[in-house]
Amino acid sequence: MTMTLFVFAALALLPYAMFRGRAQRRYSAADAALWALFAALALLTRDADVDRYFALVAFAVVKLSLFSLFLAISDEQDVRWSANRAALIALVVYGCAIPAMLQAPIDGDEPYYLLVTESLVHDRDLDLTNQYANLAASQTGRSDLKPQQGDPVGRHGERYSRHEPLLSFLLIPGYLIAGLPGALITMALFGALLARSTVRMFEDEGIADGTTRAVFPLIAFGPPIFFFAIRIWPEVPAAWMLVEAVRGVRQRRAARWIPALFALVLLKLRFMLVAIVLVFRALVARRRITAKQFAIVALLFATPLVVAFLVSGSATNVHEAYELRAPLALGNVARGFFGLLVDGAAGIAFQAPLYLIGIFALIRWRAMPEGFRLGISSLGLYLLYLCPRSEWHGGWSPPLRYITIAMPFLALGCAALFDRARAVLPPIAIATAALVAHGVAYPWRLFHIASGESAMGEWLSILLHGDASRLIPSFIRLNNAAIVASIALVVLVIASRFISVPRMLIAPALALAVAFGVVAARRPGDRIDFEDAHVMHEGGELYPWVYEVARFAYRGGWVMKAGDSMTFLARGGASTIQYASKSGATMALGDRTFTLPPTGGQFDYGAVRVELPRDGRTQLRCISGSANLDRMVHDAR
Amino acid sequence: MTRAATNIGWLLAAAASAYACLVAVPGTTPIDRALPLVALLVTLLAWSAESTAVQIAVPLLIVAAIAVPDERLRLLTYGVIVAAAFARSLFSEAAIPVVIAGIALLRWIPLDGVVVWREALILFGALLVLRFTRSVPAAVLVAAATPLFPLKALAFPFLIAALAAWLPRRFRVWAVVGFGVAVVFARYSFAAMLVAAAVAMWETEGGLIVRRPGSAVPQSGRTISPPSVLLLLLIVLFAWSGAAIHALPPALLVIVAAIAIVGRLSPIVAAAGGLTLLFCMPATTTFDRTKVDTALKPSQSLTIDVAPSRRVVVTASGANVSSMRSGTLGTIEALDAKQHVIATRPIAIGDVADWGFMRREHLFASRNRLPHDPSWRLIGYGAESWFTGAGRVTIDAARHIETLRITAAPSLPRIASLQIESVELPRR
Repeated sequence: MTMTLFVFAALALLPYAMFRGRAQRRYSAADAALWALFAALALLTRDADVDRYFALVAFAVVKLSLFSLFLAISDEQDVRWSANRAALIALVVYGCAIPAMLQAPIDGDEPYYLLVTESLVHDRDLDLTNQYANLAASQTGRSDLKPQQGDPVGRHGERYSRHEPLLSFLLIPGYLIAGLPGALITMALFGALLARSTVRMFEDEGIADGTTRAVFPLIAFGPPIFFFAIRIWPEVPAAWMLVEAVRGVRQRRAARWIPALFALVLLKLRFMLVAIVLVFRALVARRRITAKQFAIVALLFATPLVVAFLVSGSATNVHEAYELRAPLALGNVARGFFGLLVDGAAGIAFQAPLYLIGIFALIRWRAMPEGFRLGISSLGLYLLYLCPRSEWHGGWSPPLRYITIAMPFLALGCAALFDRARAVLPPIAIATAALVAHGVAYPWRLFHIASGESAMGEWLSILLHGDASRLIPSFIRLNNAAIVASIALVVLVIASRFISVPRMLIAPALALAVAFGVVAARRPGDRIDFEDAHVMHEGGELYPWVYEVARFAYRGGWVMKAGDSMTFLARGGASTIQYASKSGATMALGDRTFTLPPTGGQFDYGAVRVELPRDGRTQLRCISGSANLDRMVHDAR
Repeated sequence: MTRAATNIGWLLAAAASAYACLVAVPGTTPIDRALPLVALLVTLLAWSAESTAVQIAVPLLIVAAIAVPDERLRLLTYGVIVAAAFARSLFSEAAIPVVIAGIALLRWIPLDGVVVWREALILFGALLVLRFTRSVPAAVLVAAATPLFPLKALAFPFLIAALAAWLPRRFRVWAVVGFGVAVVFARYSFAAMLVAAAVAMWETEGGLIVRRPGSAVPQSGRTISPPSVLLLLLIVLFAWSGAAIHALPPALLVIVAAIAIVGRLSPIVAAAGGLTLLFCMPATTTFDRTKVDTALKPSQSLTIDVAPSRRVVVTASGANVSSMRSGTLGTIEALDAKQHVIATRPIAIGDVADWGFMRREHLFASRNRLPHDPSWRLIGYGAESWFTGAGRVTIDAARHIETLRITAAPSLPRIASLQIESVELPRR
């Protein structure tokens, strides 16, 4: 209750920071009507089975959206707009969201950063041995923490973290003041600084204030920046550093870009790939390089390598030489590239749709602001090495982790294309608000196992009692939708250069896509992955274990033993079941029994052909033995 | 794009939107089945506002149709989405399409309940109201409040249009006051019409609102006026528009005006008011309900044994009593374990009403009013929806009540009866 009052009181203060005169009065009237509506809806649905907490969070997001709308449409003289005020608003909003994140324990790499902070504070060292031994005293709230795979071990058995220590070091002041919440507020401060720098960058590049005000809320209060600004990851501080570095290079102010790049490479070694290109661009702009400048650049690149060596015993930390050859695997590059664009769980199109406009800006390269071109080009080498990685999607983290650093520049592209993109902004804004409400209300759902499904696909599958996930592109478990979406995106991007789609047809096209998707999802698909949400399981367990490290490297499945069953929508006719079973199993599909011969081992897969009399809901039962059932694929005639 | 190409684009958009709703939305209720019509109306609103942003309501409606299984919540969600689209369109210069869309939403759903020639007359009258008031909320509210039956009631929008056209400016404020006061004293079935009349006088050009010549948009800019807010709240409830327009207490307009005025002062005040409403809503006492469903003829009695309780709520209504403005329909006697009468409570018009008095065929002629504590049992959808006249009559006693004896009044007309629907005891 107290937190709710605090949040809504904070949101009530935002208009005072931004609006005056007529904008203030109009906003107040609209806000009052919104409150009346919400109260009336709450009264009318008192007896309905509704998630009240989600409703409250959604209302807060709607209020923030209303504020953002007025920020965009109000007359210039009625808005007190500046980069500093934008930062202040961002800080207030992030501060309001932090308590929501504390509903669930911090996860992914977050607790490890905090463990290092605690070690620095209490032990003045980076050795985490006693932290692991005394997890109950840690503010991480995670008694299950173990050293991560690849964590360096010292000569005398010291346990170090694989993560670079700068972020942990920066969290110390906040941690000392308020523990974990203090650390999160520190992250929010970085988010506010990023917001400020982004607005300043827009001003530097000649983006009109009106456009900035319209786009700013979608950037600062939308994924991925919003979520990484209220959680302990280096992505938002890194984005801030890069924006400042690009601004410094553009303004030819070495005193700005050199420290920014220095901090960037110290944050994470992988950002060295960005720094290399940016330094090259900065130095190429000068006709000659002095010895002093060369020494500074050398120091910039050498320092993180030295730090990594001192901590882990290896200058490249956990990175290996073979990773340099990764871009040669073009198939993997394509997979990662399109995955980052259109994957349902980890792609821009579904997780941060605003930045799709920035993708369209790429084909108008020469017309884009110089800051956009400099920022995106400096990320080229980084993306080239990111895309072929098996963990291109970010691993166990909120979506778009590895490309959060690119978002301010994609946002600049969006702003440059603002007038052309007006028609698509309303659906983008609504999708963004929905993503934020979902992530704030259910922060644990920001982490999704790399199973080929997404939170949206699972939710729709349960609602529609059919496989909706197959209609959502997945590059983690490659499906037909992924190939179709990739081709469609390329065609759309190229066609947009020459063809202008009538604006009034965009929303109906979206409606038709949703409608046909709903119809298709209710029909049986050609392929059933037995671990998926649309399959109703009675007994059995997921394979591999849900928190298995590098889970995406396994073939997923569902382990069944005698007495377990599952039901799903399937197509009639011949299908092939792929499975693995040490000892074999006897199964029943509908009223027909069949045998799964032993395949040898856990990773040895076999296939059995089965026949279904008709389309419809089918039950698969395990009568004896046990098997790991991967998928059932309808045989094409 | 040429104008012809643009219009073709809009027609295609309307067709595609309607088709998408037809394909995707399960026809669970008449409102769900009417979504293709709603999609057409949303496109009409978008066209009138020249705003493609309004069209986003269509995919949102489809998402709501599949994502919200609870019927009441789903239909309310439709209302919120359509109201948001409507809010944007209220500021458009093309007022006629907005009025048509508003009337269609509030009066033409479900489609099979539409009496075409009557609705055409009402629409024509509403357009006349628009002509002379230059106010979309006034025109739509007048149309929404016009009873479909009897035929003479269809004159209402024409009367309002005439008033707006000829009433001298200096009398308009008095007309607003007069209509407002009349709501208190007039028949309940006229309340909605009187509120609509007051709104029309309020909104008439030259009265309290000044508009640009030839425009429906207030000169002061894009103002969210109390009548607009009232209209939008009705749009939110379009799934039960028939019941909402008549059951919303006239005091709602005062509340809306208060919120709109106070809200203009400060967002903190708005927030404080909203939070107060939210957190100070009366906690619901849950009841154990036992169905009775018995009709009592005059002088007939019914005895019901109940679990010992100091409070009992009887839900009752009348049959064939819609012409009664006041009077007693029956009596409840509470008896203790020893069958002594420990409390008595009359059941009068006002506590309950005729069960079907709010049906659109009967409301105009009815003398009943909404009970003090209505059961809020809703029947039907859209313009055909209505609240039953059942009221919850509470009887309290100092000692535990163990038996209820309910007797229909001997003075009831021969054809009338007292209908006992249920008995409720507070859950411990």
